[in-house]
Amino acid sequence: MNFKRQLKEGVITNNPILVQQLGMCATMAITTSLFNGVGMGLSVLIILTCCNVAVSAVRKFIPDEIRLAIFVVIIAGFVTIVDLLLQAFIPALSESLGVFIPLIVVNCIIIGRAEAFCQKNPVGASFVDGITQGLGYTVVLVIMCVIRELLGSGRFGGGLIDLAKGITLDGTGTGIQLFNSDYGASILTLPVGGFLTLGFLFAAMQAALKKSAKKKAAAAKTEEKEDEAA
Amino acid sequence: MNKILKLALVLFVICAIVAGILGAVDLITRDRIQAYQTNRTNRARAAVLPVKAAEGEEMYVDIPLDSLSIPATVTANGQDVEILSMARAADGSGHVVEVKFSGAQGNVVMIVGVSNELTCTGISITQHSETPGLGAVAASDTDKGARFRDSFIGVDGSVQLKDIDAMSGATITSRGVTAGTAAAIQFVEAMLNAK
Amino acid sequence: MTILYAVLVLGALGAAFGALLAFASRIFHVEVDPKQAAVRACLAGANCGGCGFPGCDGYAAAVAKGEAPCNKCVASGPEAAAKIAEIMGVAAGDTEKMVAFVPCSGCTDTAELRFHYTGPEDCRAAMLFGGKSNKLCTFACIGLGNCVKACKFDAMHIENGVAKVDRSKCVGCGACVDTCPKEIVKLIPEKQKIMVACRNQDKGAQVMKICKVGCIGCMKCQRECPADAIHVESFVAKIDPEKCIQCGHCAEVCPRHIITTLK
Repeated sequence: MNFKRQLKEGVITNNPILVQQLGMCATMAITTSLFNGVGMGLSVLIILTCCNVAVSAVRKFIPDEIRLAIFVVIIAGFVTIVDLLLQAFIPALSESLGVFIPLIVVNCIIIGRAEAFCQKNPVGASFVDGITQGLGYTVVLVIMCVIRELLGSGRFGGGLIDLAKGITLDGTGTGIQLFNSDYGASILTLPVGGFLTLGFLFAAMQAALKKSAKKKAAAAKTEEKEDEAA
Repeated sequence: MNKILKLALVLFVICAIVAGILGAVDLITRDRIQAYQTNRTNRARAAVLPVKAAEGEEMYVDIPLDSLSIPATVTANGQDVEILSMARAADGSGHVVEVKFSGAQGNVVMIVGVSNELTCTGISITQHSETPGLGAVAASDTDKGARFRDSFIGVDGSVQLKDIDAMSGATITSRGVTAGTAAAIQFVEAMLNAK
Repeated sequence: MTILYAVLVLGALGAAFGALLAFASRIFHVEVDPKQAAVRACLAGANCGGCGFPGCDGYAAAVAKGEAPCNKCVASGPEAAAKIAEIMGVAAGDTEKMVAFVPCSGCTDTAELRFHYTGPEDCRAAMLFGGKSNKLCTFACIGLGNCVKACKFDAMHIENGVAKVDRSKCVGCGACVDTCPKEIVKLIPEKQKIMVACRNQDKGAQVMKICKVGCIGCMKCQRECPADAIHVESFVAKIDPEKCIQCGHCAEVCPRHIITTLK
């Protein structure tokens, strides 16, 4: 369990949305306001971490035939808990996210990490993996929300930030209107905008990764040459 | 046989533990959720039919639809409207009816306040999927929307499209809302007559 | 009370499904060889087909059945072969690293053309026009890149109309060897650094007319070699990698400068 390495992987090199390309359905539908984005991201982070720990804790006792059934039961359990807690304590978020909270049960990120990572790794590493992958997910959601809201309706922090009240947890924050919403490209607030924004983010990420790979290859080559000369 | 027992036992244990935790969480949160739901419904109802009630006292008394002898669908202005729920104001100032009808892009759910004189005291659209900028204006906070909704105040069960301030370019939505309002008032009238 | 109810309902459902799954796993049971999975985990996973089997899964299955030797996958390296041998409980054969080599130097500066070819970038298409080549030399590399397309490791490139191997990237899978329609490309041991970059079997006088650097079979290299490793057969020089001591003397004395020193 190497926290720094796993953090870099979770947020950048193995980002669940931009690199692994999992769980995109919720990403595109949710990111219409910062309130939704932060709320969903943190919910997934909590659920992912809890599920990772639970699956890792029982990994030695799970017979192979019922592996999937057990994963789904554990995930559904945690999602229901979070759903109930949200309905009770942050009802505005629950209403805003709507059906996407129950949909976290089938979010590929959670069952993907359970299958790919937690089955073979101890509880500590799985815990860190949950936190870092959840962080990566939240970061991307926040970026998408900011882009879509800002360019789509000129607003920043819709639902979450209010100039008068600070941070509002009941979804009534009107956000900061940076420019008149008439000048925004309102197509970005529609589902089409979700696809477009995510597409551009993918492209940007791939370009950045390729550049970094080229740098590494060039650095490795110069190292080789120095070794040969030496 | 051994394998079947083993798998069944493992799944039983895991499901039991998860169910136990869920049951506990439900116990903690159930009251809060219930209170919030009632609060939310009451707020929507108060928007169309304000009620004077002391803090913590019941504002609206629910009338279960199956306790009434009249059917829960009304055909008004040639359109079928379904009655979803009904409540009486605790201070006797009238009734609130929740109706569902077909809009331009799908179903629309609306709350209508009906006074004791069988006139509309206000409408509020709670669920819809109408076109933004056209039908959705009926539910929006804009001047146009407010004007549309206010034009229903005072109409009776025979209200037609020409009696209210319809939205241009959103005829189907306007017709639907009109039918919904008429149906709500007609339903209350039928209920009072049936007593 | 609700807790008990929830526990009983979900527990019963779980037990029921557990039993059902156990039953199903018995009916639909498939014999999976655990050795196959272990072997597959050692392989590089590029599915290059260099081993001659359909992909890495195919090779792993064959090894697990005992139908394939442990050292067929050159792309994964000798450590993988050793690991596979350990899994299978046999001694691994020695994999000597082989790399591809194109024995032709007939580029645009040196080879005379038979005709100018415009058409699909495929060596086989150019061969349809007779003479087996677009160059006057019938043994030459056509240079339209069938080998480049076959190479999954980006080790083949066309430079100036002739194919060249990037030895740092070549893993010796042999895909280029199989695909070359003129069977020019061959695999040589990586340690062999001196090679004759020509395979033309025409007489010397003829060669001098059609290519500026082609081997003319003058036998100077054969006379000068201290290890008796290079011989001229059918008017072209050939180096025996078993005997060659890599001194490079033949390359120095060749009047055509056709013997190259590879890196």
